[in-house]
Amino acid sequence: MNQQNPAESPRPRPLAEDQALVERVRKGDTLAWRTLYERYSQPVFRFVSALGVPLEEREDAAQDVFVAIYRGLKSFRGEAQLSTWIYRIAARHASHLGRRRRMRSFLSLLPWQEAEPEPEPQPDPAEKASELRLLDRLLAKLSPKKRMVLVLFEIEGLGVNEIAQVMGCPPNTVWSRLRHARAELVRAARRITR
Amino acid sequence: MKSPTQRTDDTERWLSETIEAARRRIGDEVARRRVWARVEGLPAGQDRPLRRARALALPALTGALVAIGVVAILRMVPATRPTHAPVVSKRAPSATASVSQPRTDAARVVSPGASAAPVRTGRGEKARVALVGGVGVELDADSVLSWDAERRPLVERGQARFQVPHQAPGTRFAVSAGPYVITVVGTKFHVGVGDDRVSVDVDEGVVEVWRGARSVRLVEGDSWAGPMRGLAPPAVEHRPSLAGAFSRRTSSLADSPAPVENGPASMELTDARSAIREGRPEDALAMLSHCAKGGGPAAENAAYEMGRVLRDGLHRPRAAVAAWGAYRTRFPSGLLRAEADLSILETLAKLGDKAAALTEAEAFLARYPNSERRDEVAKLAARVRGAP
Repeated sequence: MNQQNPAESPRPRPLAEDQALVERVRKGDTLAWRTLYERYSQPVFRFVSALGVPLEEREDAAQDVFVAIYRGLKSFRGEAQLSTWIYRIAARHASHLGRRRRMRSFLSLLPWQEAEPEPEPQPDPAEKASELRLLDRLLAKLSPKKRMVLVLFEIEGLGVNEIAQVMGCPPNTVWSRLRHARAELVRAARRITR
Repeated sequence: MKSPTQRTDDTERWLSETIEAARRRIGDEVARRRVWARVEGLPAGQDRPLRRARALALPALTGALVAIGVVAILRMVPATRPTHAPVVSKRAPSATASVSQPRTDAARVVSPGASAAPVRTGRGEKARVALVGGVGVELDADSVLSWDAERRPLVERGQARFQVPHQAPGTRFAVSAGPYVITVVGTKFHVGVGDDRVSVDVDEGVVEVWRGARSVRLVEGDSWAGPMRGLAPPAVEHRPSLAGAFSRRTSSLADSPAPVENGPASMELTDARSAIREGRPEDALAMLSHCAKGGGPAAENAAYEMGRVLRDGLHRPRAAVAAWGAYRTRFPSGLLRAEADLSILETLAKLGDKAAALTEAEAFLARYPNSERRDEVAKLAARVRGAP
């Protein structure tokens, strides 16, 4: 797993470049908007996938995230990294979708429901590796908050301070969740490989 | 047999490697392009996606809660009445009253027990009808709302505006109008039934208008009208066009023949993807082919995806290569150009067409010297060169 201390060594990010990009998008520059999409769509797709948004909902989720990004750029003040701010929007949206899925599965247990059963989640044809699917299954065993911390730290490579900004909690809470999430993930993996 | 320590090491090593693979996970490029097709117009003021997303989020929860309450009540009352039994309040028209923002008026409320009868409005009279499931109907003057044989609301005559909360997964709300059935997941739309035609205007969300096995899908801002009789058979069963005139209210070309617009075309792409998942590659290809004839990003995506369907769904790799070739000719600087190049290269390599594959690989490496997939292509080229 990620052995570095990302709180001390955040990845270098072109702050001024992002600010300039935001300014251009605000002015309606379509090329800048496309550049922003090209730069951040891959992380957004990867992030919502790792947070358990099923394949059939991923496009809509990514669309909603980018619409929210576009709308929010007007009030983006550059107090946080653009990437942190985008992760925050994506995290909020993925959490919302997660709550909706849990509500749906709860409602489907009620006796009055005569609706068709929900279709089985489709495997992503772009992801051939069964290991990644197994990892997704293991991540699904974590609580939403622990999963998000682990994904942001281990997969997205964010530092603890950045994760704290994304999740709106103190860095110590992030460390604590990360420690528990790692332990739970290893335990779950061990149970499967036993 | 492995010791517990050895097993722990193996597990953690596996986790490290898999997480590393997850960091490098590259999503479906075409899915990213499809999303781009939907959001690229935002700087130009096309904010439809947000309004749709917002419109559906809250009603999803409220609709579910309303449905729980209503169904709980229905369970206690043995019902012989229609599924969408109405509670009706009528009001006289006023100069300030608006259909889209009706006044609350409980002047004449018909109890659910008497609701199997059609709801009629006379001249200058309007009615609000509350159906089971939180569906609201505003019936315009000189209109009739009743129920068909399958207990669906039926607009017999006149104008009705429906407001449908987001439906539970797998369920759809349906309205009959003449020979058509309009199905929705959660939306606001308007149905008009005249002597010789039926019209549908969509204010929010998505609706489908069905006649037999044929359907047309309408998104927010779309208007559609179809004849009551004499429907001309479409060339393709799933072709998203009935005989009606398909137009966009905001377009200055409202009366011109069915252009392929971004909104419906995007939906067509989604339909094509569903067809692929459901194992109907021929249908998917027909939809993509139709969509590709239009313009904009949706047409570009469709032109590329035709190749995928031909290769993976219909197992016609040569035709797939030709389709991607056509894509390159039409969109030489397209967003999916690199994907098309790679797809052609991979397919030619699988076909064993060594010379053509090498030519493609060299062209790719020259064209994209900084591509993140450069190593992948170089390896593929080396493999092709080494093949007997």
